[in-house]
Amino acid sequence: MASEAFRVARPPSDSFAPDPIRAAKLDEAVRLGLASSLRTVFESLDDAFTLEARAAERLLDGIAAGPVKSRIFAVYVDLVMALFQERPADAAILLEELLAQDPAVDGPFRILTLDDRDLGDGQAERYRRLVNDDVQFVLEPVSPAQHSEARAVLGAAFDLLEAAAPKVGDEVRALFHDVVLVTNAEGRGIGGASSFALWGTVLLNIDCLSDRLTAAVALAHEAAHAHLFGLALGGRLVENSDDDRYASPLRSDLRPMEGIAHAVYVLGRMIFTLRALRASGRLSLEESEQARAQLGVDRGAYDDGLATVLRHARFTPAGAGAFEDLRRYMEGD
Amino acid sequence: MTNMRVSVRDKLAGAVLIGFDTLARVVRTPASRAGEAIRKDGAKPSA
Repeated sequence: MASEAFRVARPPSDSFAPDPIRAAKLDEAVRLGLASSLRTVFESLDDAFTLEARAAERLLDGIAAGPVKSRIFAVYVDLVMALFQERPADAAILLEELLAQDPAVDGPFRILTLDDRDLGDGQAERYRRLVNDDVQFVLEPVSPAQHSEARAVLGAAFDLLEAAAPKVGDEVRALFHDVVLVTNAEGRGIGGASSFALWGTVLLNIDCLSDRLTAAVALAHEAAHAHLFGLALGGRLVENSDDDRYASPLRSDLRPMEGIAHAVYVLGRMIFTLRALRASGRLSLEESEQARAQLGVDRGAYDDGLATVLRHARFTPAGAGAFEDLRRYMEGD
Repeated sequence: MTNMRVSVRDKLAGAVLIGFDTLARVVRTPASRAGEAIRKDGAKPSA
């Protein structure tokens, strides 16, 4: 079930450095993969399902035409799971929901919270479910005051990136059309969350938006996850079983190798961003010191994580390519 | 009597579906850091 059918030729040049043009191409490739997958699903449906052909074609054309609401990806995932688990009544409702949507995004870049008023009826719970993995964390919406404060910090972070590392900020905007602000006061703490099932959306904990530097690196971190999802075209970086667990460079719990590989690559992108910000001369003395200290922490975590990856990972072609380019960058310093 | 009807699940069993490593497993990698990193090494979380 690996995504062989969607695998495109590897980018001709280095895939590591942030690049908004490549990000837009990855978004297009992912959307075409979604349209192809939905066509396969539609063609598999039997007479028990009502599928209006023109509505289906309209949906597939819309998905191929341009950036797509994350809800479309989420409903697709839920639909496939319902069919796999032989829940036809649920599948019929999901199919109806899917065909009722205009797939085009609502705007170029929105800052929302985890609330049905922002996301649509029933979507906050769906988002929570789709970003939770083996360890549960509790995500809640932010207050209007927290929203305003976080919006201002994100604005300052994008301004900083535009001035100091423009391709980082532009890639973030090419990969995400929705930022969903959350709090995470209970349960296991996270800084943000992303899932291929919510392609186009990133959830950010406002605790990681305390200042423009921290926010800028948080955006680069999350964009790196999405970049990897895109490079693998919805597939995986490694073939290791998720039952096998390894020490993580970023978390105290043992993680599947897929998560370790993501974490190590993301650390490389964070280091790239911190270096670019420091080199730009746009940081205050205090920020520059903060970035220097963070670079030391991240470099140590990267080295630890890379050693684990090199010892145990069995790469897919997408993972092998991504790590080749990552290591070329990191070993060139 | 043999039931020859092929279920939707069976039809999809060999299909390539984006985002699914297997039909039972959607590919997802929640981001990872913050509180866990603080506990792990005592340092400020990575962004």
